[in-house]
Amino acid sequence: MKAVTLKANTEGIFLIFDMNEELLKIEEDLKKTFKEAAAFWGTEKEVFVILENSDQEVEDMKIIENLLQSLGIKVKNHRHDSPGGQHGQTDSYGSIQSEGSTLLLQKNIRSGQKIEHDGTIVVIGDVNPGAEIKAAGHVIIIGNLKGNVFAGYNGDSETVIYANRFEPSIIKIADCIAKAPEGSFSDFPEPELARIIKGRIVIEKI
Amino acid sequence: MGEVIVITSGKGGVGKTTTTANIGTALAKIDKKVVLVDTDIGLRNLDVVLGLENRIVYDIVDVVKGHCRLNQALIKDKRLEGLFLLPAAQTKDKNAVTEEEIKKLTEDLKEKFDYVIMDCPAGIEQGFKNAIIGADRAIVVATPEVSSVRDADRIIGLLEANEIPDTRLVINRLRPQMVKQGDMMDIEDIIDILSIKLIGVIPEDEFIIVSTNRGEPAVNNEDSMAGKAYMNTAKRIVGEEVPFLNLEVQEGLLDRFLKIFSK
Ligand SMILES: Nc1ncnc2c1ncn2[C@@H]1O[C@H](COP(=O)(O)OP(=O)(O)OP(=O)(O)O)[C@@H](O)[C@H]1O
Ligand SMILES: [Mg+2]
Repeated sequence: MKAVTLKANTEGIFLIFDMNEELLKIEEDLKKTFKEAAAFWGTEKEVFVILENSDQEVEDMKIIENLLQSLGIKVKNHRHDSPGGQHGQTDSYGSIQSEGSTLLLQKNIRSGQKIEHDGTIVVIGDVNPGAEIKAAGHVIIIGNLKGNVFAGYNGDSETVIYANRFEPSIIKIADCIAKAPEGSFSDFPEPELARIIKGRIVIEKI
Repeated sequence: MGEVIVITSGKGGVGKTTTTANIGTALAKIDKKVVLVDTDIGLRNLDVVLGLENRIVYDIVDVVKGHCRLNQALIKDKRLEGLFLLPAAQTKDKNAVTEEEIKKLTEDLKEKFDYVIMDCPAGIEQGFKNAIIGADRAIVVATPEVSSVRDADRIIGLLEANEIPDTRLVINRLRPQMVKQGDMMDIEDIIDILSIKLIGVIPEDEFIIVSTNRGEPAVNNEDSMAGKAYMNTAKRIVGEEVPFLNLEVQEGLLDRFLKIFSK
């Protein structure tokens, strides 16, 4: 069994790591893979990484990132089956994945309340003006968003913010910040998704 | 066993004391036994609104510290049999009473009265905590302004965190004309943000100012629209189904127009 499998498609090169294997074996296999598949690489110095059998994804991802870095390779995105999201195609919504645990809140988050969590936050209820939500992962709001939301506070620019109705005061994803335009909300709002496309926060209907 | 209802708002000056005095008076008018507790220590004024300021001998601090018996501190209303006031102290020390003391007090009052209504101070400090500690339910007062609604939201969150169930909303000082012109938040906007149930809509009414100065709550005045609205609110508190207000407010204005023209 190989600890590292390489796959490539039009999106780029994918490295699939079996985290059940010893780290030494992973390292060895990775180097082997590099040599064997030299033809694939060309000038490509970035890969997509998929972790299999990992029970500590955040830590494991750091280890793999370091490993790849020592070989002069950058990680393009974390664990996306398809990196289509980078191109802003609607079909990529199907592949939003999350790291860390998920905090599920079934209530309205009201003015003055601050929720912080180092994974994904799911709110079933409204996030009101003056409330603050801060997640290392995604923020999913099955309700109205009118407060401040920060997704990917550790810098993960692949995270998204979803709400049934979007009229936030300020949203942040990783290092990007967006202020909602004033008075432009329709009376019949549709669910929307905010994420980073080409270094900017884009909010789109889904 | 009675029920303890706290009247609160977060933001100051939106009508907590006015609401306490009027709902209390209205409940007494429909034959309930009611005590109004002024928890705004240092800034007592529920006594003035009720016109009872000259009768105060003992206050809430005297009661909880055991300087007098509960019955000695309760002031009976001038007109209504079943209405009593427990006044706040004028002491500067806002921490003169503790949460435990108030909890005990509300339990004692519940034994004697159908409704114990707590007039809460503005803010979210100790005075607020004291006022809500013994509450079975809460009424949040908000005016149709963004800042007031924001503070009401904060308060509702704190009430939820303290597991006080069944919080209801009173919207005070509504001006139908301004809502119509789009200059004021309407009821729907407010409910949309706060997502709690409405129990009263009180129009802006100059009778309130007159009646506050006279020490006679507006519910005692047949002509006061706010008085009518408070009476309806009291009826909803005791569980009566009273149809809601948009209409009430507009009808009221119409009433007044008719009166003006028939003079
Ligand atoms: N519906 C109304 N129409 C007109 N004036 C009103 C109305 N409700 C309240 N007021 C006026 O607003 C002022 C503040 O009301 P009130 O003292 O009841 O507020 P409060 O919330 O208790 O204030 P505080 O936070 O200082 O305790 C008073 O002068 C009162 O007469
Ligand atoms: Mg007051």
